[in-house]
Amino acid sequence: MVLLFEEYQDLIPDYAAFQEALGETLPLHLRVNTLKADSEETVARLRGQGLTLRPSCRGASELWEVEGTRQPGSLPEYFLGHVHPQALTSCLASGVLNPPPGSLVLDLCAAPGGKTSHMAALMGNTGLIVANELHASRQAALGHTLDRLGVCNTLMTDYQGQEFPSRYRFDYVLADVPCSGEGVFRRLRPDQRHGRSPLMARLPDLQKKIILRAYDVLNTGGEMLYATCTYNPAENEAVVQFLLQERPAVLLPIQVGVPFEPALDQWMGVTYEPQLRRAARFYPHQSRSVGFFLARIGRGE
Amino acid sequence: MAGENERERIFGYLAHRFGIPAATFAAFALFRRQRGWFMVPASPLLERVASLKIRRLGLRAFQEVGAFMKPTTRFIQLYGGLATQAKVTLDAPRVLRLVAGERLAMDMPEGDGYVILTTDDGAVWGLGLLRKGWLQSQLPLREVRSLNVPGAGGS
Repeated sequence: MVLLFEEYQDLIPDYAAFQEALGETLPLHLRVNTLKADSEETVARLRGQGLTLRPSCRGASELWEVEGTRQPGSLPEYFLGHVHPQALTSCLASGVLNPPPGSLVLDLCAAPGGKTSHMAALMGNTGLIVANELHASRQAALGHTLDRLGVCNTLMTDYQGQEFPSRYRFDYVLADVPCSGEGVFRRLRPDQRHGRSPLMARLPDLQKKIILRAYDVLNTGGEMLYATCTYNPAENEAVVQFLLQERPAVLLPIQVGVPFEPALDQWMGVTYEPQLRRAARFYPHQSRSVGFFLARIGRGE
Repeated sequence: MAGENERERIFGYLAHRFGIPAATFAAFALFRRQRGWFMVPASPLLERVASLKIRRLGLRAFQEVGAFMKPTTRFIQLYGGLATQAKVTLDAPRVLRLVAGERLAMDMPEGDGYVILTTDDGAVWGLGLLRKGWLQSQLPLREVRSLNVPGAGGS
């Protein structure tokens, strides 16, 4: 069997278990949409349909791991907007940023809308979320998700993330940036490899521009979350390190009910600032979900 | 943005037809775009971002159909639970028949017009249209035809 992501062998703990996890089917996770449904009642309805549900993690009563269907889109609860299928680690992003009701929030790369709608639910459909999505083809999916889930508190814009107008200020910013998507890759055949396109080499430059803009539109005292679904340190730690060099940003601790590893302190001969260890790396063999990276960042004076 | 007259026309209809109090929507602003009406929480935050190039605002709540204002499925799913009248409760097999395009014989005191479709487990599905004693689905066909409705397998 071909080893996947061999270049990360020294940084991923229990690399053998990681390899094994890449060959397994991802568990299905559903988020109960509390804007339209009660978690307990929805779980009872789904169990009544013969599905098996287990809490996905500690401290998040709306997140459930589901067995018994691979087609959540055909559940009545999907049409009703009571549930949204979403990777567990993706759900964690909105929960970590956790904007309170009444906040002004910017979601810089919003489609397909899972995290936007989750934040809307956390805010109880109050305040305002600017859901920015550059690509027209993805705006339709975003609008559909927000409508289906009964989200009222959003407005959609279509700026390039790195060029979002800098004269605005937000209480919270989510920068779930375009990335190489290594974390969602699964092995379907023993000889399968993860391909890299030349476009991927250009991603860190784009990500650095986006993280700067995300920080620059934060209110003093505001918080942002930088998120990717890749293991690549060049798209994760190196991008956050760049922000720390350019701005007086502060890494904030992350607490979630899912196992994770602290971010790297060095990679390829480059040593990162110690506070970067507060960022979190999620691996599929530990979280039973897609690989993810989260950095919670506060804006200093 | 909708003026007082338009708000009264839209929310007055919801109160008259379904018994949903107009006060429910006092904290929301309505904006029109083409034939659609969009609902968003009225907030000073809107002014802070008003000069952004906005593609879309809030929930698509109503659609103009001729001279009439039709609530969207998603709006009804969100607020239909507050209705006190013009509401039909169906069991799963009848939901499936309706979704499949069948018309169901129905007699309601509210008379012809839109009715809110609910199932006996309390879920609000969207709208039906009652005309001359027959109820037909107004649910978006593309979204509901592949649904696996529990309890409706053999029907």
